[in-house]
This record gives sequence, C-alpha cells and structure tokens, in this order.
Amino acid sequence: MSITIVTSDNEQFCVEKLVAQRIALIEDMVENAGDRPIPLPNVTASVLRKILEYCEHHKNDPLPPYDDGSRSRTTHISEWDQKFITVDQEMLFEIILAANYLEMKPLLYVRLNVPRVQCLTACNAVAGDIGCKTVANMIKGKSPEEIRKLFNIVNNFTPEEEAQIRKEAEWAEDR
Amino acid sequence: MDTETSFAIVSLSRAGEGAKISGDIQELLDLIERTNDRNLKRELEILLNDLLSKNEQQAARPRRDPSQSPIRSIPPEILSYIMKFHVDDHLHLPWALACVSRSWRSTALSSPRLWRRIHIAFGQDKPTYRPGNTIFPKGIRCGSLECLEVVVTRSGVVPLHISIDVLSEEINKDMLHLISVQNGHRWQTLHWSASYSATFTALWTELQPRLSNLEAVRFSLIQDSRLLGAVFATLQRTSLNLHTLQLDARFRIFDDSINIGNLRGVRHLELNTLPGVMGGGTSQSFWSRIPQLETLAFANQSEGPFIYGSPHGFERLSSLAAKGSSLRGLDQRASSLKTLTHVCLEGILVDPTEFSPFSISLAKVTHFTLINRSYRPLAWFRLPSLSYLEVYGSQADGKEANIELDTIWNPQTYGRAPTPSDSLRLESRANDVHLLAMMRLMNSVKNLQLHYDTASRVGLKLLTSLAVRPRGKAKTSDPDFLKKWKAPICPELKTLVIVCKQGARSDCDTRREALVDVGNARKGTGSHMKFLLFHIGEKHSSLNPAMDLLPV
Repeated sequence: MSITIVTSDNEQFCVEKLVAQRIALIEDMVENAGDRPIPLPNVTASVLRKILEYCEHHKNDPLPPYDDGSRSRTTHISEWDQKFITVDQEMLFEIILAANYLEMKPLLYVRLNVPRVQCLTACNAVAGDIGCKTVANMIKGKSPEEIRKLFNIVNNFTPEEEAQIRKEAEWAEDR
Repeated sequence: MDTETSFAIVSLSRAGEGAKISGDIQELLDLIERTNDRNLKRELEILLNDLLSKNEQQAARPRRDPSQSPIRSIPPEILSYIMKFHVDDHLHLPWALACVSRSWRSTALSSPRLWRRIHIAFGQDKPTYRPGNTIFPKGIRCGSLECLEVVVTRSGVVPLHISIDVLSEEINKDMLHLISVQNGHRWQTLHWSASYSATFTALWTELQPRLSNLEAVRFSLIQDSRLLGAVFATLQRTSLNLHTLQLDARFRIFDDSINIGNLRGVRHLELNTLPGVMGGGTSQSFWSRIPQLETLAFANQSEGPFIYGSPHGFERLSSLAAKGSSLRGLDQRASSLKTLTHVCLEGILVDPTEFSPFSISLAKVTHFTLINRSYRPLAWFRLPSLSYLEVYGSQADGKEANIELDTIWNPQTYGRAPTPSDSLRLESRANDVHLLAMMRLMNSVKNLQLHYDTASRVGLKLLTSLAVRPRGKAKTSDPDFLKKWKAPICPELKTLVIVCKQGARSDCDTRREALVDVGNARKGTGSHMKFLLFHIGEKHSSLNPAMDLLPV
C-alpha cells in the first residue's frame, strides 16, 4: 500500500506506507487523509527525496527505546548515514529543519509533552539526530572565530558584550 | 468555453506555486480581457485573485541572502540540541559556543545542560588540556568565585557533575560554600581528587553540605583517611541515592573507624589501591555493609574480598573484575554467587597451587575473561554455563605453552574444563598440534578468534584440519547430503578470525589462503561459515561488555 505526498514545490511522491510511517508527522496525517494526497507545505522535493532515501534505508530497523533526552548520546555516525549526510551546508540545514518539522526529533515531544507513540518518535529522531551530530562534529575543537568562518556568521556583539566575552575567554583559557 | 481558453485554465491550475506567478497574472489578465463568456470570466477572476494572493505571500517571504549562512535558519532549540552534542559527546567546554554571535550566545546561555559539568581545583597548576588532546577536561574549570557564580547561574537547576581537586591548603571558602552548600542538592556525580588538606577537612566538616541527590562518586589520589572520612560522613548522612562508588586510594581502604552505614544502597563498587601500598585491602565490616553489590571491581588487593565470610555478601553480584589481586576465599564463596554472570580476572595475585582443579564452581557465569602470565588458573574453574571465553597474556612459550593448554583441556578434563558454547578468543604460543587437540574438545564453538605475535606462528596444520571436505564423489554431488554433513572439528563454527600483530608478506599470504580454504571446504555443508578474517595489526576488543563499568 502506498500514499501520496505533495511537497511545497508541488511535486508528488508516491511512497510505500511502511516507509512513510517512519515519519511521525505523516503517520498522524495518514489516518485523517484517507486516499487524499498529504501536503507538506514546508518541505521541498529535493529535501523530501533525501528524507525518503533515509526512511527507505532504515525501514526495517528495529525501533530504539524511547529517549527522554537524559541518556547520553554518541556522535558516532554509521558509514551509510555518513555518506547520506555528506551534502552541502544548505542541504544539511534543510534536512535538519525538515526533520524538525516532520517531527523526526525527540526533544520536541519531550518539551511539548505530546502524548503519542513514543517509540515511533524516538525512531524518527535518528534522521534529525544525524544532521545535528554532523554539525556538532563540524564545530569540534574550533574557536569562535573558526566557527564564524565555517558558517559565515557575522560577529555582531556590542562593545559591552565584547568586554564580557573577553573575560570569559580568560576563564576559558584557564582550563 | 473555447478550447484554447479552457486549456489555459488547466495549465495555470497545475502550475501552482512553482510557476512564475507574475507572468501568469499577466496571462490571466489578457485572457479575462479577451473572453466574452461571463461564467468563464468569473472563474478566471477567482483564479486571478488566488494568484494575486499567492504573489503577495511570496513577496512577503524573506529571501535568503546568499552571503548569509544557512545555519541562521535553524531555530534556537535545534541549535541548543547541536550544542549539547558538542559538549556532552565531545567533552568540550561551552565557552566558545557563547562567543560566536549574539544569537549563539543567547542560545548557549539559555541551555543549562551545557554548563552542568563544573571543575573546581584548589591549588593546582593549569592542566595541559588543549582541543584535540586526548586528555579531556574534567569540566568547566572555575578558578575564581566570579567565574563559578556565572557558570552556576547558567546551569539553572539541572543536576550537576562536579569535579573537585584539593591539592593544597589554600581553599576558597566562598567557592566551596556556593558549590557545596547552596548547590549541594544538585550534585548528581562527584569526582573527588584530593591529597591531605587539614583546612579542607575542617571547612567541609563546618559547612555540612547536603548531597541528597548524589548518585555516583569517584575518589582518586586519596592519601589520607581523615579527609575521606569527613566526606564519607556527609555521604552516609545525606546521600541516600548513592549507587556507584569508585575509590583510588593510597592507603588501606576503610578501617572500621569510617562509618559507611549509609552506603548500603551502593550497587556498583570499584576499589583500586595503588600497587605496592602496604596493607592494601579492606576490612570485614566494610564488605558486610554493602550487601546490594551488583558490580564489583577491585585492583591491587592483597587480601581481596572473599576471605571475609559474611553470610549475606555478594548475593546479588552479577559482574566481577579483579586485577593484581588475590582471589583467596573465592572457592568457599563460589556457591553463594548465584547471580554472577560476568568475570574478568587480570594478573591474579596468588600461588598457582592455591586452588585445586575445578574447585571454584561458578554455575551462572556466561562471560569469562582471563588476562594473565599463565593460563593455569583457568583449570581452577568449573563454568557450566559458559558462552564467551577470552584468554590473553600468557608468557609461556614453546613446550611450556603446549603443556599449559594440555593441562587445562585434555580428555580427562573434558566436560569439566571451561568450554564456551559460543565464542572463544585465545592468544597462545602453543603449537598447532596442541591447539588442535584443544579445539577437538570444543564442539559447540561458533566464533573463534586466535591471536598471534607474528603470522609465522599461525599453524597451517590447524587450518588444514578445519578445512576438511566431505568425501565421496557421489555423496558430495547430493545437496541433501552436503547440508547434513558436519566438519569433524568445530562443526558449528560460523566465524573464524585470525589476528597477528605483525607478519612477513609471504607468511600472511600463505595463511590467508589457508583460511579461505576453510571457508571453501565448508561451503554449502552443514558447517557452512559466515565470516572469515585475517587481520594484521593491533589489538583485540573485549567480548565482555559488562566490564566497561562504573562511569563517573
């Protein structure tokens, strides 16, 4: 059985239900939509294609235990996932945003305290997690200036804030 | 409705948001002007209104400046999530994250979990940590009251991971008060590194902090029992949730003067006395007061815990690790270790003749690791539930290495010697005739990993014997016969891994070919193998997962 998803740029995707149900938001919408296409106005076709590629690869993975955010995580990323997430910065952040919108991120539920099938939520966390882990790995060991350079971020601190930051820089040196 | 016009409507409807809306509007205006059909005109006007509305929405949507980073599109809660990965998993400090830009700073300062690992060092030079080093910081090092106040404030109300070094008599009372009295109830874990300090001991006793939510404590470099006693008095008075305790001490751990009455809830204990410390060991009362132990690891204990015959000791023990310590008394206590499943022994400190063969019977042990200069202690054990066996470190060579294996595994000990039902990892310099004799007694082993110094030591006879093929031309062409056929040695073997630290190319090539031949010989038979690996380089990882314990 398959369902139809329509992206923000009006592209239609015919997706196996088993694959689509890895996405928590769609899992919810399928019940109400009947045979009608499911619109995803915040996800473009290129990003959805990537997300579905991930879901397809992991469709038979066992559901991990529910993660309430308290247990420690690891930034280790499997070889396939590593290859999957090797994209340009723009696509990387698009994937993270889409995973967030598609409720593929557990902390959102923890924060909003939405009572739902928590195992499924935890399972869907993985795609979002991979993006976040990848960004965390990118900033590993970098100074503020290097992080700014990496992401093209402008230093917009006021002189007063700069003074406090200089003090913190001294504390940071004392480690 | 004329054909041309109706086609245009369909085309516009399909175009949707992806179409160039302004161009469509112009086209629509032209159509409305040209058509005379009133109904069609109305439909076109509705469509026009819809397009105009979409056009307005698109104009209102902020356009991405190509010079701006896409990371700016990430909402603060996701940025905070990324920062948490950075701090928790990479053990990096959050300072840099708060100095990137105003929005990053705002996110970092409103993410308390980033600021929960706090390190206070009284009287210590700056450590040598630098990003990229393998020495990780113990936490956010707070060298002044001002710094500590900032970090504590930013940590909000989340549980804290505290690391305190006391290495001099110069103690900042205000800092100690802020962290231990005002925030003592938030301590979740504590790593305490301290030499003797009369000032600290007196201050701690005066302040009387309450560490009511403390779960795990690690003490290291402890040189004096008075300081330890002061802290333990606090733990036994206030820390009812303490379940994990690690002690690295430079003196005899715990005499009866230290009240540990409230540590009865401790389930995981690791005791390390530095090698060579006179009187390393514990007292009987110590062991009798921690009856809930599930995990016990100890090192350099000349007496060990098993000489004390408490009737209730170790009834819940599931994992045991001992290094450089005596096992005296273990034979007497073995029958009461009814829940023990994982054992790791390294550098056993005993006379090899201390135990008679099979005198230590551990009925439920499934995982057993021995790392020792001699493997003979293995002959002391009866392990009827054994699944995984790891044996490393023997210094025996030549004839001695052969005798070592023969003593443990021989036809007389068959059925009693430790024989894993699943996996065996073995490092031995015995020649392959003796290895083969041992393997003949291990019929149910499914995974075999053999470790060698050099590839030249890998005996070809062993591999050849594992590569025995089914015989008889008529029979081997019968698939049913092949499926039922089992190899004579290690018939259940699914994985065979050979690890050599080094090796000449010709030796490696010969062994690799012989290994492949084992797989080919068993292909399609009842002994069909799944995985073969010939590995040159270092080193083995542990099969015994329960030994990676006691993280503080």
